[in-house]
Amino acid sequence: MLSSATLTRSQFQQACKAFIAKYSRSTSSDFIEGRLHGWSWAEHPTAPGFGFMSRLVLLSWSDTASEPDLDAGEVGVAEVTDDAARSLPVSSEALTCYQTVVFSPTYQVPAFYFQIHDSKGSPLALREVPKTSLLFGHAIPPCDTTSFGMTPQESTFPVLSQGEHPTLGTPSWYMHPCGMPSAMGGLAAEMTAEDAGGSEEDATLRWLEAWFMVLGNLVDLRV
Amino acid sequence: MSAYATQRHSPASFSSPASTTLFRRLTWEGTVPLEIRVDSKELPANSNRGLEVYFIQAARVTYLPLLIPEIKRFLLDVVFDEDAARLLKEEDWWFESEEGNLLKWHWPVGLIYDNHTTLLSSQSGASSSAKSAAAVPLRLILHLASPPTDKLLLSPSAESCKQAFMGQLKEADFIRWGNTKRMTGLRKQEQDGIWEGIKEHNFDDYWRVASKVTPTTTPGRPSSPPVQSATSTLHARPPSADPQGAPDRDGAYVVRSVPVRLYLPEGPVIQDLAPPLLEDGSPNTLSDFLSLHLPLLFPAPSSSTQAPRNLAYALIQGVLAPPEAELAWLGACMSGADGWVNICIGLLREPGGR
Repeated sequence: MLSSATLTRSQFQQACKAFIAKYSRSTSSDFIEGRLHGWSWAEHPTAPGFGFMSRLVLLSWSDTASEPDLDAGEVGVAEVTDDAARSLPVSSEALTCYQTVVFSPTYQVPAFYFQIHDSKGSPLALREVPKTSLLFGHAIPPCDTTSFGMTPQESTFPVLSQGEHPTLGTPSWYMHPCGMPSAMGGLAAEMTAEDAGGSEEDATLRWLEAWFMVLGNLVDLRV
Repeated sequence: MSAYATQRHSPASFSSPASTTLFRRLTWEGTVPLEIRVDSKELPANSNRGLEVYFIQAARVTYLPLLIPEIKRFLLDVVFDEDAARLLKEEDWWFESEEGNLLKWHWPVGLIYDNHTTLLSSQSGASSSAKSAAAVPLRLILHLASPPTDKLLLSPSAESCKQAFMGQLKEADFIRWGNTKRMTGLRKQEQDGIWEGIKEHNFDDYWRVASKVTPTTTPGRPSSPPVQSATSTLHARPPSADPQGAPDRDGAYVVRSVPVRLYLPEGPVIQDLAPPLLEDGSPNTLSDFLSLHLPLLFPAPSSSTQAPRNLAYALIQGVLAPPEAELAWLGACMSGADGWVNICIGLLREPGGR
């Protein structure tokens, strides 16, 4: 059974395809399932085995400022909070978020990559990302933010930074997958006990569902 | 290349500290010629158009954003007038090759150069082979505004470059040992010091810290076989069971995997686990690795046929790498400053060109 803290590339592919088959046709607004809709599989045009899952999600500017030192005027909504923000027209600007789940060959786990564009098509800078509805501000520790990465103050390495998409080679933001193997190790061990007798496909699917659960602590996965 | 194929070195001959240091020094001192010109359509009014080309012999281990201060100084001194200089915004600068390929600022300059060399090998009409291109400057077009944000990482700066570099070092650490304790264990001062070594191109400053995270090549690797012994005794002996001396827990041949990336002329960057030893205990060679991942370009030898002809070649740090090079050794001696062995694959034009 799959008790591993990591996946192989082919297990990742198997898990994604099972995941898409399970959730793509579902229209449930169930609390859990409502977060897992809309993914589809994309192959690399020339190299087999480098595929990934992707989906397009509309976001908005978050209506609570998560940082005290937001630059006034940069985003328009940044310096105001709560009720005042909702009345500003700019807060209703639709942001387009292209999300992908792609295999990290270094950490041997899925990794969450995303890009966010404003209504004019410009990519958001990192300082603007926490002001959107994508991340749960309360779940992210206080960070030192540069144009390249967000690094928790007690850490030497970022939780969120810029990087090349492993398959597309395009610029993306990504949640660092380095903590995932240890987070998944404990969960996978528990799942193994429940899974006894199931197929490997079921096991990889459940592994990926658990991964989404971990990711969902930081990222608002609602469509 | 043929000389390498016939004359196999004794495996232990590379493992002395002096030769390790020598190869690390050679890798560190490697440079590439760059010819940089500002896009003529973007030259500000009143620029001195006769002199807008600048040549640099750039270290392979450096990065484009670290070259920008020097390029800017030249442009301000010689090409632009004061009005134009006031309007310059370096964070908007970006580079492409003469052929129109965008250059990634977070890649080491040596990788950009090698990748460009192999890219040309795949394009029809390009006459240059790896050998003839070796001393040719890479011609870069410098654009002063509107970087293509859908293709290049945002906000190039020395600070961003440092973060990208540290991230690569950390990934290499994880690949080797399955954790990042060596990297996260470095003090802030050491982390800053290793980057200063890159910025100032100081071998000693860099290696003072890098030696704490890079595998060693001594003492003798656990698998190094006595030449005269029968093959059966060499196999299936795990490194930890080696009776001759305690295995070096930082040794190049005991890592979980060597940080290796394959760059094809077109297509994604291929990264997979690259264990230093094969299942039978013999060293995993470049030839083994390439025929596993690119069997059409590097056919695996079989007993029934003569050595098959490779259709491609491998460039590592600008060197045509011999097929019997061992991955563990490459990882300890020929990796870039960011810890990665970058292998650029070029296509051979003439049949039998190896």
